[in-house]
Amino acid sequence: MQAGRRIQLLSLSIALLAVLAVVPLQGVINRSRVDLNLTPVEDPFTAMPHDVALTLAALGSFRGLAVDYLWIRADRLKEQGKHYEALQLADMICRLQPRFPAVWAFQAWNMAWNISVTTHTPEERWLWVRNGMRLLRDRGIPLNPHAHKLYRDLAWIFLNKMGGAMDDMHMSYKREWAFLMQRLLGPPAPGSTLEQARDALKPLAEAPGSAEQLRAERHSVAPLLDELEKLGVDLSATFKPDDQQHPLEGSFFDRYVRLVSPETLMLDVGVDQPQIEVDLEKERFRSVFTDPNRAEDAAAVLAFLRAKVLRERYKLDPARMRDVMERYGPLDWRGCQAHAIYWASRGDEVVPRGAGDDDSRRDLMNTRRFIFFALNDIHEFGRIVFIPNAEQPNRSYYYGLPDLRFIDVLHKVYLEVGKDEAERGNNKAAEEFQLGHANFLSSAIRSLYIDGQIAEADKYLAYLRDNYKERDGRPKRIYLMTLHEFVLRDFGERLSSRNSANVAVATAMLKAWEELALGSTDVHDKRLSWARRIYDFYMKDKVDDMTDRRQLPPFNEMRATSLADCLAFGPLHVAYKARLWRLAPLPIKQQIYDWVKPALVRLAGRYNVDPDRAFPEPEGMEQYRAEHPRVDSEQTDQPAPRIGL
Amino acid sequence: MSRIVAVARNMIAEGIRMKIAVIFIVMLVVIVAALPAIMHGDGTLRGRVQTFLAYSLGATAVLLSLLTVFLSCASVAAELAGRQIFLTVSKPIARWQYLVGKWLGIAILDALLLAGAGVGIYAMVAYLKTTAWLNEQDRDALRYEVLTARASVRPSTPDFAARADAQMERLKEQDRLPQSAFAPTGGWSQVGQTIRQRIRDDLSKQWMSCPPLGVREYRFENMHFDPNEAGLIHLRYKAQVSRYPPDDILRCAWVIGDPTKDGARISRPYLSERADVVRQYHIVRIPADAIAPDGTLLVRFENVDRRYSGDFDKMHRTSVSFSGQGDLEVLYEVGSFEANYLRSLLMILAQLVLLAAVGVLASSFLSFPVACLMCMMVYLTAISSGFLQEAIRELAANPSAFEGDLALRLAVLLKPATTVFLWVVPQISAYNPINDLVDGRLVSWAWLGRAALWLGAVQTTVAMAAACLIFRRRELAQVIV
Repeated sequence: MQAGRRIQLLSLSIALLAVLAVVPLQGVINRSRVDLNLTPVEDPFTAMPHDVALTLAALGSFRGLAVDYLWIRADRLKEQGKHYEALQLADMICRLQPRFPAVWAFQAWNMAWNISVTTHTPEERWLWVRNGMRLLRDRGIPLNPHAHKLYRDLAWIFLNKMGGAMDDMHMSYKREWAFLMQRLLGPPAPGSTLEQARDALKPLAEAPGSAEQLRAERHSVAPLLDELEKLGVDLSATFKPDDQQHPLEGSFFDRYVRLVSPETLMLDVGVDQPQIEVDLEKERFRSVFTDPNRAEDAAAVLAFLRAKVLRERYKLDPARMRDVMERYGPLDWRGCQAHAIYWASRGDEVVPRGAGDDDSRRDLMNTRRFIFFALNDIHEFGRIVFIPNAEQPNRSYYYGLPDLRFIDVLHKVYLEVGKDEAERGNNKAAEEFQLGHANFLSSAIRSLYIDGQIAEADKYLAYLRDNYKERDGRPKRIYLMTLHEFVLRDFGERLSSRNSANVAVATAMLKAWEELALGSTDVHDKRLSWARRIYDFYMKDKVDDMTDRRQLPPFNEMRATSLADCLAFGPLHVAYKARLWRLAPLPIKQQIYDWVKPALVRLAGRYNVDPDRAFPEPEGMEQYRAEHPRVDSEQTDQPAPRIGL
Repeated sequence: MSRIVAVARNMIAEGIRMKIAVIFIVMLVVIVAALPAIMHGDGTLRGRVQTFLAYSLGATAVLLSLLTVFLSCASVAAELAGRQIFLTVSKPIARWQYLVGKWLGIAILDALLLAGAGVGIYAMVAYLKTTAWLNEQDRDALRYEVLTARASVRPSTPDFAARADAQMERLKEQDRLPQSAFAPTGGWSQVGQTIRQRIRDDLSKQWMSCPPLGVREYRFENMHFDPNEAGLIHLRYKAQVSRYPPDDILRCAWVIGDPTKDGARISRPYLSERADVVRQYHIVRIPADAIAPDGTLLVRFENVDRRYSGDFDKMHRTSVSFSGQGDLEVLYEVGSFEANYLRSLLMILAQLVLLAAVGVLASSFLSFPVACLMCMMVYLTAISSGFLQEAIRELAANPSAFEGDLALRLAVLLKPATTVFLWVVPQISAYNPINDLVDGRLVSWAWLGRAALWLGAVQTTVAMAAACLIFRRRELAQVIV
């Protein structure tokens, strides 16, 4: 036998021995994989995208090495503070470990929470928060649809990172998100009931999946769809994972949104924006959607396009959105909390029911908590006032007000969570929930009372009386008061001095003006009536105080001052302030016009709006000035004084 | 010389004819063209360009290295296996000339391909530059942090050696030093030297730290910056804290520039109030006119939360330290991206030249597949030598941590052999310019010179000398398996 042949046989024998030596190790390795939860939950061959499957197949056994290298590189770059490659590396690592939820969760968390805060501009921060969110929503969850952790982490990004106030730039996340959602869905009807909000989503839930289906189901839409295509709207365009936005958002919704805001709001209040250009194509686009003869077809097309973008880009199922609203109230999808609830609910669906193991119970509990926190936030500041800024979405106008429609839902969730905690034997947490529940209801009663919802307020006071008693079983004294006494009890303590009374009345008045600015005249009236009640409550024993030491100024004078304050210093957008000016009573406008004019001119200038059209001089000013000459004419150029607050 | 050139010319023609070379060239073209569409970086234009540069240059270096290995191993081995070598050696050409010619041919081919890829990558960067940026800061970051060549300068430190000596003398006077610190012949013993070094380290760390609510001034010197040049310089830092703030955000301030300096171009210093995540690198972008005409930059760190100016009770109190390697530096522009890019390509070429020599060496005594395997092992070890050395140091520093792991215990046992192997293998990873180029840091002529000297001259010469020696003694008619 030749030497070469001998070497070949020897090498072959060594290779065989090495393979045989590995065989007993396989059992140990398999056991370790199970112990360390490294086995995929999902079927590895189901719904694997082609690019991921190809990568896995191409690398074969070298996948582990490649993953190790990428993790080392990612870790090293992070140490060095270099984040430019983080998204790319996260994407590659996740592609190589597609059925390992912890990997997706870690990478998304790293981007949304760790990397984002190392940047110092709102655009960059939003980019990283969005990158983290997209990694989970667009790639991680579709590949691991039964991984509860991924839904929970996604909900937490919406709830805490974007919806909370922990991050310095949380307002820019809220604005960016509200912009995207408002562009797509439009603003919800103010104060809509659950039925109205749910009905608004019905056409979307029932919308067909493609333009062809829409044509087949509704023949009359064909001309409209053809016109849209001629205007450059590609109805068959789909969203790809690397796209920054859905093609339809650029070709359709960017144009459609200009038909509804903010110009319309500005036009409503009699203000033309000089920057609006006359655009023939825009006019054609407008005519497609404003022709009253085709209103139903236009609505069907709009619903189809909205549903398509919701499903493809945002991975939101309109039918599920309706279900979530059915359960938790008329959610405003421009708010991050609504999405936190949606994804937490989706996560809830994948937890095995009746499993009874600790993990499943903990997962369910976490979901409930998330939903509870989200509803609490909505109750406190979920009524969104939003004016989009298409050029810089993070500079849009965003203002959150309490949403009293969620009191009942939150009340029920409080009860559910408290019950869960008690059942788990977590008595301390259950007690804390009870205490929180009582405080929440007390505050809710005040809010409802001020809002004029007396029956509702009374219902919750009765609930407190019946359910939160002293240790010996007697009802608590404070809950035995009448509703009026209960609400004014706090104010009685607060209205101990002239200054505190001044603040309380002025705050109530300011809230009333804000409601008028938003167009809610009935709420304005209720708030004003509440301000009057506080005023009267304080003044009832001071009418004989002739020295003016403890008396408040006359009610109407305070009202005028608070309007001036709201216009000059309030946080509202110029369009709302212009609307407020239009709706405010004439005598009050006459009273303050000369005070606030300089401030209003400056405000209009900032927004490139004609001040004389937005804030026209009230009628009869000449006569008013003649009857009420100013004492100090030098002060005309001064901004409105801050009186009363 | 003409014989060497003739062999080299033949090698280039052969390289272009070989299918494997064509495959690599096609892959190179496809990768450079396709990367901008595949790699989006972090969504910023700066990130996109950085990712493209890192991956395209990395892919170019790897592909050309593989091509070099295949060409250098295949050419000599194939001529041996196909007996064409008999014709060559029967001509009036020395065997060393034959090998050097082969090496030269591969090196020239590498240079041509690298130049082609370099032009393609540069054209792509020029194109990417014209695409949409995120915001103005993103645009400035691309110009001043990526497409540039910045030198790094660290703060000047006082003479800690003299201070440590003074401290040692004080301790000696106070009789607080152990007897073993003194050498019998006078001066400090090994123990004494250790104590002195420790004092010096402590002084250095104190200097690079700032106490709670304190202020520390650092001076950066010898910044050769054209005072008439507009632009930005960058203060890069990573703050370590003794007590974590509740939200992990350190609120502090940097006051930059010295308006009292002769010829100062600023009337008052720049202020940057910060809210930074601790233990992460951050960058303060500073107008370049903060540098004084004498090339110094005064930087004052204020460990105070300016939101509560004067109200110290509200401030979070923590010591802040910048004592880690590179935790505090100023980066300033000293050259153009183009020149930096050219130097980077030349450094990659130096690596390829050495790899070609290793390939020729391997094929001088091994068959094609074995020579390829050997070269691949040398190449992989060479590019990861930095990581491997770090891992070995980690193992040696803390062997008990790996007791339960059989593989790592084996690695500890094999450490001496691994260390020797790493010493023999060329340190290519020490001459990797891509990271610095992508960060807009200067790839200096001095560094390139060292790469050319060690990789391109010394190690290449050693490898080629060994190859020539082996090949001269080799029996060419012997059949190799």
